[in-house]
Amino acid sequence: MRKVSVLKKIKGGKTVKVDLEFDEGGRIHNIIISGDFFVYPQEMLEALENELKGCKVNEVREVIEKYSTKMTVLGFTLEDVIELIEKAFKV
Amino acid sequence: MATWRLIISEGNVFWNMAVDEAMLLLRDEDKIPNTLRLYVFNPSAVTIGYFQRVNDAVNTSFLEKRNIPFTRRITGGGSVYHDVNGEVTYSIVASIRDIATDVLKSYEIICKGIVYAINKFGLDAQFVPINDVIVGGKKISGSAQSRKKRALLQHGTLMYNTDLMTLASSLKAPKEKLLSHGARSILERVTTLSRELGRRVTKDETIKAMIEGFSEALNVDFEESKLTDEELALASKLIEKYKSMKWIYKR
Repeated sequence: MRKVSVLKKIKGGKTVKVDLEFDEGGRIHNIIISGDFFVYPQEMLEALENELKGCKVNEVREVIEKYSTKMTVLGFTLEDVIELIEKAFKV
Repeated sequence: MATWRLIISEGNVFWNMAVDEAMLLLRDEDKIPNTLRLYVFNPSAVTIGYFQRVNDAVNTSFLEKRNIPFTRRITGGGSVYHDVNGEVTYSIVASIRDIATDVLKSYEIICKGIVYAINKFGLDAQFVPINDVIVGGKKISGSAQSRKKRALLQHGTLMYNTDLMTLASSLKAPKEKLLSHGARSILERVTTLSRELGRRVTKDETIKAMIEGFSEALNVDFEESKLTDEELALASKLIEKYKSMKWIYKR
C-alpha cells in the first residue's frame, strides 16, 4: 500500500493535511483530511472521505464538488482539497 | 434586555468538554436557557480540534512527561493549552436564532465579547476572522463553534497569564503555519493580558471583564446559577467518551 501525506498552509493561517493510502490499482484506499479548520455540518467531512475511498484521480473532482452545496467550510476551500489529492496522486 | 444564565466553574479537561457538549445537546432540545459558562481547566490541560490528528497537533511526549492530560473537542479549530493559572475559557450555548444564522457572523458577534473584555483593561484588541482575537498583532484568544439544528456551542480562551513556554512546548504548529503568521515561534505570536500590561492580572479580574464584555456584545444581563441535574447526569455519561482512546485518537 502506497502512503502519501500532503499539506497546504492556507492564507489566513489554517492548515489542511491529507493523508492518503493508495491500493495497487491506483485507487484511494483510505483518506483522512485533517487540520485546524471548521466544517458545518461537521459529519459531512467524514461522509466525503468515505465517498472518496475507491476513487481514481479523475473521479476526485466530481465527488468533492458534489459536497460544495452540502457543507460550509471555513479556513480552507474544497478546491484546496482537490489540489492536494491530485498532487498526492502524482507523488 | 434578555437575561442569560451564568455559570462559573472549574474542572478537569474531560469534565469540561463533557459539560459543554451536554449543554449544547440540552439547549438544542430547549431544556436549558441560553448560557454563558466561564471556567478553568484544573489541572492544566490541552484540547485539540475535532478535525486534527493528535500527532500533528500536540507534543505527546512532552505532555506525558509533564502529566498534562488532553482530549479532542467536539469543535473544530486548533490545539489549545489551558493553563490553570493563566487562562479562562468561556462557553456560550444559545439558540442559533438568538445569535446569527450565518456562521462567520456568529463568530464575530461572540468574539466581540472577548474584545470588549480586553478593552476593560485599557488595551486595544481586534477580532480577526475566523476565530481569533489579537492584541498588538499577537493572539490572546481563540474560539471554536459547533452547531446542532437549533443551538450552537462556542467556546474559547482568554489568556491572562499563561505560561507561554509550556504552551510552546505542548503544541505543535507546522512550520508553514508559523511562516504565514510572519513569526518564527509560538512565543512571538501569542500573548497574555499580564504580558501586555506589565503586571500580574488575576483570574477574578479576567472573569469580571469577560462577564461585562459578553453582556455588552450580546446585549444581555447575566444571572449566576448552577448546572441542572439533567446537565450533570448527561455530562457524567459523556465524560467517558472524552477519556477514551477511541475518541482521542479518532483521527
